[in-house]
Amino acid sequence: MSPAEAATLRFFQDTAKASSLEQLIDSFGACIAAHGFQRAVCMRVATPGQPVQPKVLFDWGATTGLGERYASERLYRIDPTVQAIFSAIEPFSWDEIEVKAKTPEAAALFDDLRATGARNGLVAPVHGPLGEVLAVVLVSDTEAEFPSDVRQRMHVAASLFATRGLTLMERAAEPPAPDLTRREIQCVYWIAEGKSDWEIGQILQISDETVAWHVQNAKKKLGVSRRAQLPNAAWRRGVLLDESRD
Amino acid sequence: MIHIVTADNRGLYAREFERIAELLGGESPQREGLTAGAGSLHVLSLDGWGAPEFICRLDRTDVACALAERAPQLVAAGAETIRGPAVWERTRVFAAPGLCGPEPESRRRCGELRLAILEEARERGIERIVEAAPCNRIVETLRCGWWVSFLGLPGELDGVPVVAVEIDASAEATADLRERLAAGPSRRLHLKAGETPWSASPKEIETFLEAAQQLDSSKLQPLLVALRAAVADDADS
Repeated sequence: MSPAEAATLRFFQDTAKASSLEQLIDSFGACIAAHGFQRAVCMRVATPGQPVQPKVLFDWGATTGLGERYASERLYRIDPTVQAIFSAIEPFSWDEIEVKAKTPEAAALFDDLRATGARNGLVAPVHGPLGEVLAVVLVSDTEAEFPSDVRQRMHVAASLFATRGLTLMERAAEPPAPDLTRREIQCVYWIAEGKSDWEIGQILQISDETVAWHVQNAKKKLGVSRRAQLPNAAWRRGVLLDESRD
Repeated sequence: MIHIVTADNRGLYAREFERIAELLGGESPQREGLTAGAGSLHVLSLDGWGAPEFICRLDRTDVACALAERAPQLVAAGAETIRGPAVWERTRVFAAPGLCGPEPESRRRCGELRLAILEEARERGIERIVEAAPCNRIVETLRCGWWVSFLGLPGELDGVPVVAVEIDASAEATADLRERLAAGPSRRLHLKAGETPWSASPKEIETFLEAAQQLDSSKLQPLLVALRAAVADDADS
């Protein structure tokens, strides 16, 4: 087994054990570094029902000032990569998409990227089950081409990175508290209304894995073993349940 | 309801399997898989019109295993680690386009199908399920509520990039999915050949059972009497 293949398998195993976003990012970084990539960015490209405004969620490796300029000048409006992500179901390289640049400004985006030292990039689209679109962009300063086995490994690794990273990022936004947190109360409220995890996730605009984590925490704090016991246990504790989404 | 089709009752589903064969067409591996062996089990869901909207096949891997036989390189620990009487392989998955969207109804039905597969596995002593998941649908597999782990690196199977995954079919995993879906009573249906009334189709039986579940006994009895009379009239005419 090559070092790159071993690094990929290690990442697959590490993902389940990662308890923080930093751990996941470090593990992903080691995996992609073994394949010749020096930087990576995970972006949320689109969420159903909201305007398309790509946003960087988390990244690994040195970042350049191009990211700030990309957001402030809204360069995603002309970036052919963003347009391609919506319809792509497999990773594609900058070389493959650069030829589709319709305007000199769009072509100049790739020149700007190469001016930072990048030689080529691989974009892995991540299409969520609820219609959300994310992408993981892997940047290499050394590799000009990416063979099919590398693309397949990076596709699966990027999907894991984006999916698990999003959940860990949402969890990190919740500070630990001995009493039920606002989110935990909201989850218990919607459980009392008979909603499933993914329905609650849609209502609260968080992933269903994050909902499951809140439900687990609420069960521990209220001392129950089953989800259906949560509303009564919260009521006995004197917790006021309401549907506020703030 | 979700139909569990085995060698014992497959004759009841002849029309449905023909319809699936027409939908799949040609000599695709899925079509060949419909003529399954005695140990195979299919999980089948029908839409409101009685047309198949989902089917998958489950085989014990000590009997047959496509992953072990045709793509052993996809299992890092060795193909023999996925063979055994307590391991199923899921293959020949077909889902109608209407079932594959983010809409609430699709999502709920897909969740029920996944839960039904785990419940059936528990009843038959199956502890894990393996499959070659397409790489371009891996996010759906990761976010569906199953406890999924990777068995190896991605590769190609029949020209399609796939990665071998293992789905935990333990009691804890099944209970967790049931909780996350806020699921009610099991929606599995095991029809027995020779016990179905008046040559009714599986969809007709399903519809009747679902209606019967919502009726109290005072309304169920007159309904049964009326149905019997209608069937007798049909037989006489």
